[in-house]
Amino acid sequence: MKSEKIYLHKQAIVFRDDATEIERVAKKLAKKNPVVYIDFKAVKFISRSFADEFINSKERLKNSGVSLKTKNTAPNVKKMIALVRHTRKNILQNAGSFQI
Amino acid sequence: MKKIKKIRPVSQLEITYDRIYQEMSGIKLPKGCLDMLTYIVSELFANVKEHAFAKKIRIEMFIQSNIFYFTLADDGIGIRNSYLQSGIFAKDDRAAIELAVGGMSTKKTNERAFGLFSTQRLSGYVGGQMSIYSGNINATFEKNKTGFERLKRKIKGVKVSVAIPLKAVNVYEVLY
Repeated sequence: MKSEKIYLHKQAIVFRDDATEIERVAKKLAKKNPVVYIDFKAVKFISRSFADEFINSKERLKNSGVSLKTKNTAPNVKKMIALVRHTRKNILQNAGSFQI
Repeated sequence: MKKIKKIRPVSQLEITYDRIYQEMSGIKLPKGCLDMLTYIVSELFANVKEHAFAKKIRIEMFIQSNIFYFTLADDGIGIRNSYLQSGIFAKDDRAAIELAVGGMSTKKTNERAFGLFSTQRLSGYVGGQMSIYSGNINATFEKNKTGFERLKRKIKGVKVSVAIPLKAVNVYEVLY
Protein backbone atom coordinates (compact mmCIF):
# COMPACT_ATOMS: atom_id res chain seq x y z
CA MET A 1 0.00 0.00 0.00
CA LYS A 2 1.36 3.44 -0.92
CA SER A 3 2.12 5.62 2.11
CA GLU A 4 0.34 8.95 2.50
CA LYS A 5 2.46 12.10 2.77
CA ILE A 6 1.99 15.70 3.85
CA TYR A 7 4.53 18.20 2.56
CA LEU A 8 5.12 21.40 4.50
CA HIS A 9 6.16 24.38 2.43
CA LYS A 10 6.80 27.08 5.01
CA GLN A 11 10.33 27.69 6.29
CA ALA A 12 9.12 28.80 9.71
CA ILE A 13 5.97 27.37 11.29
CA VAL A 14 4.69 29.38 14.20
CA PHE A 15 1.01 29.04 14.96
CA ARG A 16 -0.93 26.29 16.72
CA ASP A 17 -3.49 26.36 13.89
CA ASP A 18 -0.87 24.90 11.56
CA ALA A 19 -0.62 21.80 13.74
CA THR A 20 -4.39 21.35 13.92
CA GLU A 21 -4.55 21.75 10.13
CA ILE A 22 -1.92 19.00 9.76
CA GLU A 23 -4.03 16.85 12.08
CA ARG A 24 -7.13 17.48 9.96
CA VAL A 25 -5.32 16.56 6.72
CA ALA A 26 -3.68 13.52 8.34
CA LYS A 27 -7.08 12.23 9.50
CA LYS A 28 -8.40 12.57 5.97
CA LEU A 29 -5.40 10.80 4.44
CA ALA A 30 -5.53 8.08 7.09
CA LYS A 31 -8.78 6.81 5.60
CA LYS A 32 -6.58 5.31 2.84
CA ASN A 33 -3.63 4.33 5.05
CA PRO A 34 -3.30 4.67 8.85
CA VAL A 35 0.37 5.63 8.55
CA VAL A 36 0.87 9.22 7.40
CA TYR A 37 4.26 10.77 6.79
CA ILE A 38 4.87 14.47 7.26
CA ASP A 39 7.82 15.88 5.34
CA PHE A 40 9.64 18.72 7.13
CA LYS A 41 12.26 19.17 4.38
CA ALA A 42 11.46 22.84 3.75
CA VAL A 43 11.09 23.71 7.45
CA LYS A 44 13.98 25.44 9.17
CA PHE A 45 12.25 26.59 12.35
CA ILE A 46 9.20 25.67 14.39
CA SER A 47 7.93 27.73 17.29
CA ARG A 48 7.39 26.40 20.76
CA SER A 49 3.60 26.85 20.34
CA PHE A 50 3.56 24.86 17.11
CA ALA A 51 5.75 22.13 18.65
CA ASP A 52 3.40 21.81 21.62
CA GLU A 53 0.29 21.60 19.45
CA PHE A 54 2.02 19.21 17.05
CA ILE A 55 2.72 16.84 19.96
CA ASN A 56 -0.94 17.15 21.03
CA SER A 57 -2.08 16.44 17.47
CA LYS A 58 0.19 13.41 17.20
CA GLU A 59 -1.22 12.04 20.46
CA ARG A 60 -4.82 12.64 19.40
CA LEU A 61 -4.14 10.95 16.06
CA LYS A 62 -2.47 8.01 17.80
CA ASN A 63 -5.52 7.62 20.03
CA SER A 64 -7.70 7.42 16.94
CA GLY A 65 -5.44 4.80 15.34
CA VAL A 66 -3.43 7.09 13.05
CA SER A 67 0.36 7.02 13.10
CA LEU A 68 1.92 10.36 12.10
CA LYS A 69 5.59 9.95 11.25
CA THR A 70 8.06 12.74 10.56
CA LYS A 71 10.57 12.78 7.69
CA ASN A 72 13.50 15.03 6.76
CA THR A 73 13.34 16.84 10.06
CA ALA A 74 16.02 19.53 10.54
CA PRO A 75 18.09 19.40 13.77
CA ASN A 76 16.47 22.65 14.99
CA VAL A 77 13.01 21.21 14.55
CA LYS A 78 14.00 18.05 16.45
CA LYS A 79 15.55 20.17 19.21
CA MET A 80 12.38 22.25 19.64
CA ILE A 81 10.19 19.15 19.85
CA ALA A 82 12.61 17.63 22.37
CA LEU A 83 12.61 20.87 24.39
CA VAL A 84 8.83 20.95 24.57
CA ARG A 85 8.60 17.25 25.46
CA HIS A 86 11.16 17.81 28.21
CA THR A 87 9.22 20.80 29.63
CA ARG A 88 5.90 18.95 29.50
CA LYS A 89 7.44 16.03 31.37
CA ASN A 90 8.93 18.36 33.99
CA ILE A 91 5.65 20.21 34.50
CA LEU A 92 3.77 16.96 35.00
CA GLN A 93 6.43 15.58 37.36
CA ASN A 94 6.42 18.78 39.43
CA ALA A 95 2.63 18.81 39.54
CA GLY A 96 2.71 15.16 40.63
CA SER A 97 5.07 15.92 43.52
CA PHE A 98 2.84 18.70 44.88
CA GLN A 99 1.66 18.00 48.40
CA ILE A 100 -0.50 19.93 50.86
CA MET B 1 18.99 45.87 6.94
CA LYS B 2 16.53 48.67 6.32
CA LYS B 3 14.31 49.87 9.12
CA ILE B 4 10.91 48.20 8.82
CA LYS B 5 7.76 49.92 10.02
CA LYS B 6 4.40 48.38 9.22
CA ILE B 7 0.81 48.48 10.30
CA ARG B 8 -1.11 45.39 9.27
CA PRO B 9 -4.53 43.89 9.96
CA VAL B 10 -4.46 40.85 12.22
CA SER B 11 -6.12 38.91 9.39
CA GLN B 12 -2.69 39.10 7.70
CA LEU B 13 -0.73 37.94 10.76
CA GLU B 14 0.64 34.79 9.09
CA ILE B 15 1.73 36.58 5.91
CA THR B 16 3.27 39.39 7.95
CA TYR B 17 5.20 36.89 10.07
CA ASP B 18 6.48 35.11 6.94
CA ARG B 19 7.79 38.42 5.55
CA ILE B 20 9.47 39.33 8.82
CA TYR B 21 11.07 35.87 8.89
CA GLN B 22 12.36 36.33 5.33
CA GLU B 23 13.90 39.67 6.36
CA MET B 24 15.57 38.14 9.40
CA SER B 25 16.86 35.18 7.39
CA GLY B 26 18.66 37.60 5.09
CA ILE B 27 20.74 39.12 7.89
CA LYS B 28 24.26 37.84 8.43
CA LEU B 29 24.24 36.79 12.07
CA PRO B 30 26.46 34.96 14.58
CA LYS B 31 25.86 31.22 15.03
CA GLY B 32 22.48 30.43 16.56
CA CYS B 33 21.43 34.07 16.61
CA LEU B 34 18.77 33.66 13.92
CA ASP B 35 17.17 30.89 16.00
CA MET B 36 17.04 33.22 19.00
CA LEU B 37 15.53 36.13 17.06
CA THR B 38 13.05 33.82 15.30
CA TYR B 39 12.10 32.27 18.63
CA ILE B 40 11.41 35.65 20.23
CA VAL B 41 9.53 37.12 17.27
CA SER B 42 7.46 33.95 16.82
CA GLU B 43 6.43 33.94 20.49
CA LEU B 44 5.27 37.55 20.23
CA PHE B 45 3.25 36.81 17.09
CA ALA B 46 1.74 33.69 18.67
CA ASN B 47 0.69 35.76 21.70
CA VAL B 48 -1.20 38.20 19.47
CA LYS B 49 -2.96 35.36 17.68
CA GLU B 50 -3.92 33.45 20.81
CA HIS B 51 -4.70 36.18 23.33
CA ALA B 52 -5.01 39.69 21.91
CA PHE B 53 -8.38 39.81 20.08
CA ALA B 54 -6.79 42.62 18.12
CA LYS B 55 -7.69 44.13 14.78
CA LYS B 56 -4.35 45.63 13.89
CA ILE B 57 -0.70 45.14 14.66
CA ARG B 58 2.18 47.55 14.37
CA ILE B 59 5.71 46.31 13.77
CA GLU B 60 9.04 48.03 13.93
CA MET B 61 12.33 46.25 13.26
CA PHE B 62 15.87 47.47 12.75
CA ILE B 63 19.48 46.83 13.71
CA GLN B 64 21.69 49.51 15.19
CA SER B 65 25.14 49.13 16.76
CA ASN B 66 24.87 45.33 16.60
CA ILE B 67 21.58 45.31 18.51
CA PHE B 68 18.35 43.94 17.05
CA TYR B 69 15.35 46.10 17.91
CA PHE B 70 11.89 44.68 17.46
CA THR B 71 8.49 46.01 18.52
CA LEU B 72 5.13 44.33 18.10
CA ALA B 73 2.09 46.32 19.26
CA ASP B 74 -1.55 45.30 19.02
CA ASP B 75 -4.82 47.10 19.65
CA GLY B 76 -6.41 44.19 21.48
CA ILE B 77 -7.77 43.64 24.99
CA GLY B 78 -4.49 43.84 26.92
CA ILE B 79 -2.89 41.35 29.29
CA ARG B 80 -5.13 41.97 32.32
CA ASN B 81 -8.36 41.52 30.35
CA SER B 82 -6.96 38.40 28.74
CA TYR B 83 -6.56 36.90 32.22
CA LEU B 84 -9.98 38.17 33.32
CA GLN B 85 -11.58 36.44 30.33
CA SER B 86 -10.05 33.18 31.55
CA GLY B 87 -11.30 33.72 35.09
CA ILE B 88 -7.94 34.79 36.48
CA PHE B 89 -8.13 38.02 38.43
CA ALA B 90 -5.00 40.15 38.34
CA LYS B 91 -5.55 43.08 40.66
CA ASP B 92 -3.99 45.59 38.27
CA ASP B 93 -1.96 45.87 35.06
CA ARG B 94 1.34 45.43 36.87
CA ALA B 95 0.16 42.20 38.49
CA ALA B 96 -1.06 40.97 35.09
CA ILE B 97 2.33 41.64 33.48
CA GLU B 98 4.08 39.91 36.37
CA LEU B 99 1.85 36.85 35.92
CA ALA B 100 2.53 36.76 32.16
CA VAL B 101 6.28 37.07 32.51
CA GLY B 102 6.23 34.59 35.40
CA GLY B 103 4.67 31.98 33.13
CA MET B 104 0.99 32.01 34.15
CA SER B 105 -1.16 30.80 31.26
CA THR B 106 -4.67 31.93 30.40
CA LYS B 107 -5.25 28.44 29.00
CA LYS B 108 -5.66 25.26 31.01
CA THR B 109 -3.07 23.07 29.30
CA ASN B 110 0.46 22.28 30.38
CA GLU B 111 2.95 23.64 27.82
CA ARG B 112 1.62 27.19 27.81
CA ALA B 113 2.66 30.66 28.92
CA PHE B 114 6.22 30.37 27.70
CA GLY B 115 5.97 33.37 25.34
CA LEU B 116 6.94 36.30 27.54
CA PHE B 117 8.58 34.05 30.14
CA SER B 118 11.13 32.65 27.71
CA THR B 119 11.53 35.93 25.79
CA GLN B 120 12.57 37.58 29.06
CA ARG B 121 14.90 34.69 29.86
CA LEU B 122 16.56 34.74 26.44
CA SER B 123 16.93 38.51 26.23
CA GLY B 124 18.39 38.56 29.75
CA TYR B 125 20.81 35.76 28.89
CA VAL B 126 22.37 37.72 26.04
CA GLY B 127 22.33 41.02 27.97
CA GLY B 128 19.31 42.45 26.18
CA GLN B 129 16.13 44.14 27.32
CA MET B 130 12.41 43.53 27.01
CA SER B 131 9.73 46.17 27.62
CA ILE B 132 6.04 45.45 27.96
CA TYR B 133 3.38 48.13 27.79
CA SER B 134 -0.10 47.06 28.83
CA GLY B 135 -2.86 49.11 30.42
CA ASN B 136 -1.18 51.88 32.38
CA ILE B 137 2.15 50.13 33.01
CA ASN B 138 5.46 49.96 31.25
CA ALA B 139 7.54 47.09 32.59
CA THR B 140 11.20 46.73 31.67
CA PHE B 141 13.14 43.51 32.13
CA GLU B 142 16.89 43.08 32.04
CA LYS B 143 19.07 40.39 33.55
CA ASN B 144 18.59 40.67 37.34
CA LYS B 145 16.75 43.98 36.97
CA THR B 146 13.06 44.78 36.59
CA GLY B 147 11.44 48.20 36.50
CA PHE B 148 7.80 49.31 36.48
CA GLU B 149 6.66 52.74 35.41
CA ARG B 150 3.11 54.06 35.54
CA LEU B 151 2.02 55.62 32.26
CA LYS B 152 0.11 58.88 32.17
CA ARG B 153 -2.41 57.42 29.74
CA LYS B 154 -3.68 53.87 29.54
CA ILE B 155 -2.75 52.20 26.26
CA LYS B 156 -5.00 49.93 24.22
CA GLY B 157 -3.68 46.42 23.74
CA VAL B 158 -0.13 45.32 24.36
CA LYS B 159 3.18 46.59 23.07
CA VAL B 160 6.31 44.49 23.47
CA SER B 161 9.73 45.81 22.52
CA VAL B 162 12.98 43.91 22.64
CA ALA B 163 16.57 45.01 22.23
CA ILE B 164 18.74 41.95 21.63
CA PRO B 165 22.53 42.05 21.22
CA LEU B 166 23.56 40.00 18.20
CA LYS B 167 25.64 37.24 19.79
CA ALA B 168 26.28 33.57 19.15
CA VAL B 169 23.89 31.57 21.31
CA ASN B 170 22.36 28.12 21.51
CA VAL B 171 18.74 28.94 22.19
CA TYR B 172 17.79 25.30 22.78
CA GLU B 173 20.40 24.94 25.51
CA VAL B 174 19.39 28.20 27.20
CA LEU B 175 15.75 27.18 27.30
CA TYR B 176 16.26 23.50 28.18
